[in-house]
Amino acid sequence: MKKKMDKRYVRQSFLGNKAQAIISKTRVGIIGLGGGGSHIAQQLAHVGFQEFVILDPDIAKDVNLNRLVGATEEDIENGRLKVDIASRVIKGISSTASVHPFSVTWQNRLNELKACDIIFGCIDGFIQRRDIEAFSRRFLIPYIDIGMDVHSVGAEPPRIAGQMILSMPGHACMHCIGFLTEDNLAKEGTRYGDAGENPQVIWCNGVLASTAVGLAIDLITDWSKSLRGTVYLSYDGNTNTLTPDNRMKYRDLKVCPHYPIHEVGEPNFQNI
Amino acid sequence: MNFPEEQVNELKNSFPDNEIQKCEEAGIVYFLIPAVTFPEGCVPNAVDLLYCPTPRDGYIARLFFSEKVTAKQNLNWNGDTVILGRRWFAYSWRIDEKTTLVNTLFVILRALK
Amino acid sequence: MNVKIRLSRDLESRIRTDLLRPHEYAFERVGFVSGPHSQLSASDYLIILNQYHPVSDNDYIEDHTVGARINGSAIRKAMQYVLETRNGMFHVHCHGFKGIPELSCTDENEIPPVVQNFRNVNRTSVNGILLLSNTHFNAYVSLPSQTKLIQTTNISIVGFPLFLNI
Repeated sequence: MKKKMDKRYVRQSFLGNKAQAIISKTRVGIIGLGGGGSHIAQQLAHVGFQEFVILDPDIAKDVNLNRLVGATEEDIENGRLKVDIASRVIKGISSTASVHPFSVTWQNRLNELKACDIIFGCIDGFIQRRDIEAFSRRFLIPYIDIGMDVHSVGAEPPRIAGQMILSMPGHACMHCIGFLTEDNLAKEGTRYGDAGENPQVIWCNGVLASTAVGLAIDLITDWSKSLRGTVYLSYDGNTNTLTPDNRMKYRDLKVCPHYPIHEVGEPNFQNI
Repeated sequence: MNFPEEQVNELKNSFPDNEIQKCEEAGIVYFLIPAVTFPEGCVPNAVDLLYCPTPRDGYIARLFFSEKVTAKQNLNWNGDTVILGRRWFAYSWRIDEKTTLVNTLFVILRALK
Repeated sequence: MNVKIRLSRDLESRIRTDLLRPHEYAFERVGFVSGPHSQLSASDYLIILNQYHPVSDNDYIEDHTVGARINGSAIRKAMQYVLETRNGMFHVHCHGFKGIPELSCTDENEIPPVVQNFRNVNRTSVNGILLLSNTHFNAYVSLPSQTKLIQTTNISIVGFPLFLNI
């Protein structure tokens, strides 16, 4: 079995001679197994990740079939859980992978997430992203976030926008880089009812997911020797470009004041 | 953020049987009030509270519960969050104006009567 | 038992910088590093180290038979921290060289009693020994439920570059 496995990854040997061992032992958490998360799960499995914690409470529906990697019509008929579809995809690529699927929201499985070496966030909403980042910071876990949206602009063609962010404990967070603001958190917090279904398409999810996976591999193998700070890439789906967000130029990004690097681990409450 | 000492003492004195502690995350101070008991009819009868007396997510103050509490009136439990590494729930309760730490807290708790 | 340890690149850098400083008469330096732990399951622990406590120059004892010897005052300061914060404490030093560092005979004889002191101060804390080489890490951990030290090399340095001790 080992010789078969070695041959499988020979085309990615440029990552370094210890890379495959590191990849296989890194535990990844994927929160959200929809359009973005399903891509990430598939790609991580192809690259050789073996330890997965995957969370999503939803079942696959027909509105997901335009983008849910691995989903089939039969899955829709049977109301299959998204985590079961992702598990099947991962195990189909790598039968030796250890997959821990949880068909619940991430808040229900904090101990499993604390054990992850990297967390991918593929969910909607600023508040959830803020919460996952805060949690990841507290337990010293690099957090990679992806998301996309389609905006109507009057009579103009719709605009597709998205982001891929690496939030590394000790370095600029999503507040520092201006992705999370008091304003966007407040607007979401005071909104009544469901946000409704956001437009989502597979090719944009694919660009963002692939970039996130590439970043994760660089993070754990350091193959490029160039990843040394917060990453905030903005995706323009109209021009098909992924570029460093403009706001990165104007911010002092050396140290994060929101999550001091010594305030990590289980919190230290003080008596009043 | 620092709160006036007399207000903090008032908060402490309002819960004489509970050892109140505080901690900070992302620049926001939270007060942990453990094992607070509720009026008869609430289920569960006692939970931990995490009080956030400063603006967060569009609310000028918010109260988080370690478990959702069933009370006489239907509450909109729209907060399911993780703060300080632990899961918390909150119902939506509008406060028009903040007063003292304790008064604001009790305004929110009134929903459980 | 599975024990995972994490510390930031910033903290690791401060530890190494301190341990590399020359001392007037000790051949090497030692320090203490502390942090809280999470019990993730019956057999899984996560320790987040978040504070370094250098040993004061005056707390070294001149003894040329060993690399470094520290006095009771240094240990009592570390114990006091455990008592006040309920965090765990790790004795830390560096062996140089490359590869996974191992405890020397002196380490095996002299450091576990120090760890036991921390355990005596707070029986629920997770304490131990952290060893550095120039390239890798090793740890021996005292868990509340175990009588013997549990060895782990599952130690991550979080920052740029990220290091997973594999």
